[in-house]
Amino acid sequence: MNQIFYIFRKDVRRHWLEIVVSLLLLLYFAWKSPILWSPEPPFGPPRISRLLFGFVGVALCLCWWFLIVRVIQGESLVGDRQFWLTRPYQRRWLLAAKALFIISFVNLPVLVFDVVILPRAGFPPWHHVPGLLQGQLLLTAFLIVPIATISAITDSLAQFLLVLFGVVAYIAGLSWVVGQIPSASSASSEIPSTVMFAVAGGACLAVLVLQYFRRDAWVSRGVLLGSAGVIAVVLTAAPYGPLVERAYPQVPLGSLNPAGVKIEKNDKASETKYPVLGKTLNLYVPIETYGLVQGSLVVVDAARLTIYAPGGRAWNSGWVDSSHTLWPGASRYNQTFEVSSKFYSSTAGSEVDMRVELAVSEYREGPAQQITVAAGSFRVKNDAICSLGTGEYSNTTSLQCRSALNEPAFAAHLDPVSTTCTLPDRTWPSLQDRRNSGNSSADFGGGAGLFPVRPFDIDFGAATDPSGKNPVSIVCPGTNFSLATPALFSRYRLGTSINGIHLTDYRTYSY
Amino acid sequence: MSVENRVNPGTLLSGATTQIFARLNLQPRPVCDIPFWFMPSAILLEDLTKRYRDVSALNGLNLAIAEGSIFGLVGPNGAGKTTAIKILMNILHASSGRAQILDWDSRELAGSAFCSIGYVSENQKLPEWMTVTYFLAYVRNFYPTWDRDLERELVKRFDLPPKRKLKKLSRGMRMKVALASSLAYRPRLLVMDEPFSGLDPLVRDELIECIVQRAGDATLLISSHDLGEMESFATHIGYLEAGQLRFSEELRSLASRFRQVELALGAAPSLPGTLPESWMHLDASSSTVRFIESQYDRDRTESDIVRIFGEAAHATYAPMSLRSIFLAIARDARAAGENRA
Repeated sequence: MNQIFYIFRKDVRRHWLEIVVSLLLLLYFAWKSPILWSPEPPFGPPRISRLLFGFVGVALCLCWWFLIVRVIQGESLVGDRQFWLTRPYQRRWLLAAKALFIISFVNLPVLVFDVVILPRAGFPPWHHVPGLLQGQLLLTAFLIVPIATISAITDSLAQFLLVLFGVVAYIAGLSWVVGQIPSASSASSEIPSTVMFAVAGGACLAVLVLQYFRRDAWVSRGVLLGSAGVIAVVLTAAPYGPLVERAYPQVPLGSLNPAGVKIEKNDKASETKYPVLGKTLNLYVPIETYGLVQGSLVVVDAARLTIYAPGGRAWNSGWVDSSHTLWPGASRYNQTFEVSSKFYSSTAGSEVDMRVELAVSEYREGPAQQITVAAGSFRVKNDAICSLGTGEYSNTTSLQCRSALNEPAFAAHLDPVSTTCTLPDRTWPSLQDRRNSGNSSADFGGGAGLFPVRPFDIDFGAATDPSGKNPVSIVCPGTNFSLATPALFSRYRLGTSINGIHLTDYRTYSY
Repeated sequence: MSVENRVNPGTLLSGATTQIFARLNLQPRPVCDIPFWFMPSAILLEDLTKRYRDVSALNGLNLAIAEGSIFGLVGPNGAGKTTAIKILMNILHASSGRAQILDWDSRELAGSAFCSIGYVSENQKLPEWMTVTYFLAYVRNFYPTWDRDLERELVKRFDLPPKRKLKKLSRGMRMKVALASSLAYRPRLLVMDEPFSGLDPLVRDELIECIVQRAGDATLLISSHDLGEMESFATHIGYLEAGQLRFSEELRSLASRFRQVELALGAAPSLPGTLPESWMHLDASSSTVRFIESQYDRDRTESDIVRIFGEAAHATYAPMSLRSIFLAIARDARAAGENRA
């Protein structure tokens, strides 16, 4: 047991300079952290300070990486010439000493940083203990364990960088390959992603255990390569389309859910004939939703376009990512699809049929809280602090907010009629009910641990005077708005078709 | 027949070994009359094999090293000495076979087992950022039997610069630090892999003196490709070649059973078809016959000579240096190999 202390003490002595540098960087980071949530003045703070802040953040991560690599390779687990191999080291205490070092000089400083920063941002840290611990877990899983794993199978910093380069190349290559697979969107990749993280995490832990207790670098490298192969197979062979359809079932006939969608004719269709360049081109399909019940909001997670051309030819986009939020009442947006230029050209001049399917998550708002905007900072519910935003033209349509650890789920409503701002004409159509939803699902993690305060905006959208040219403020001190927490109600698919259209009409954005 | 026993400079035990032991005012370790393989073994290798793809580094190596012996494992470069030692120390794993070291199967050698075993190697990576003092203070923590007085004495004796970092030390100095850190806890077994390789003779002699003086009753296993340095202090010797042990024997017995025999005959000898198997490299020219007797026993050897050549006018039986013995054995083995081929 004493060995933990001896090895730890030796490592501290060996790496004191790196430790001091990392702590100084963290100190600077803590000192300048209010940059993250302080309201942006009209012409912004000096750019250099934000750049420097970002640079220090990156440097801090690199410093921790370097520290982890050096401390693990201090008793290298690769090769047969290390003096410690024939000394009475207990492997479990060696592992524990390394863990203690990383906890002491990476995890603990981050935790202290979080605990210091949260009160500075107005959040008592003891209200966020589970989130802080979750942040530590994420920091360990995503920053420490992968680096420790690569360090455990390499003998030097150069070897480490070489393997790291290989890992980055593998991830980039795999991402590119997966990107070419139809439907491999985020909406469908929940299961493959879970498998990927489970395999990668399991492999990393297995390698650490293998290296510290058996010190068999080739077997460990084999485990990592094997897991990389498994991940590649899972991600490239996953049935993404059926996975989306399984996660978002078709609304059953006779369902009480009245939501529906329809494809609008593109009323901004241009006479201009855009040239066909490249292998793909974008089509913009205006989608209108109807029938959403009051107190609900729908997030379009993914969309699929099928085009039926004369002669029985068809083209399918597969499921593509989308992140539009739809509200009760008339709600319209443009869904972008990347279409094969070859297919597009082959249908030029002929009428085609189009079918769009949306995989959506419907949220229902919980009880709303009425909030009055104050002149300075004011608390929104229990987990956020907001202040009036200031835009480039000094008009205000948004609130700049911050919350502890992760962005809260919210749905905000503002009736411009009730605004306390001076308006040119309260009946102007652009001043209809304003809404904004943030991160709809509140089940996000607690962040990676480096930023305990999450800045976010409640943006009620642009507002202009009747001329449509001059922006006006709609959020002023004394303005009321309501804020509710949405909760996932259900996930389903909606579909709609339109017949006899020309694809050329959908090459421009329809507002 | 007149008989002469010649003693050449540098012959086994009677030469350099006794000089070192005398200089250190030590008695040579008692050598039992019973064969050493009946003595308790500090190290036992059974059919040890190590393959690297198509290359066999060890090829069924069998070896027993008696407790308390100073065993010199010699052999040419690439013979498998380092591989055998690394398997013993559980740094490498054998492809097959078994290695026992003190009370442990070598595959289980870890942690506190190394409190009884020291290991010094020419190519060991030491933590070069440490100073001599810090290195010794650091490793001291791991050994309950660490002797501070002995440590101080070794530092003084080796003239180690306490505040200098290991990376700033010469190769010889680093070897001395490694040795000091391996002797200070009085291990039962000290394994050294080419510890004197590349060292100047002065440093080498210092190390050898210190090892012999400070090892106490510890068993020493020292590998080297330099026969001369082994001859100066080893009590037992093993010769490894192409991953196999050619022989392993007590040095004194090896010395006593090998003789360079020279016979002066009255006339040119006529050689019979079969000669005693123990005779090696027989060379007959005019009236002189020379050969190496590998099982020297004065009465038996004389009677063999008389049986084959009749009465010789003059016979000399010169003891051989370890180097000469190994050369004879190696040439013999090579010739046997060529014959088999």
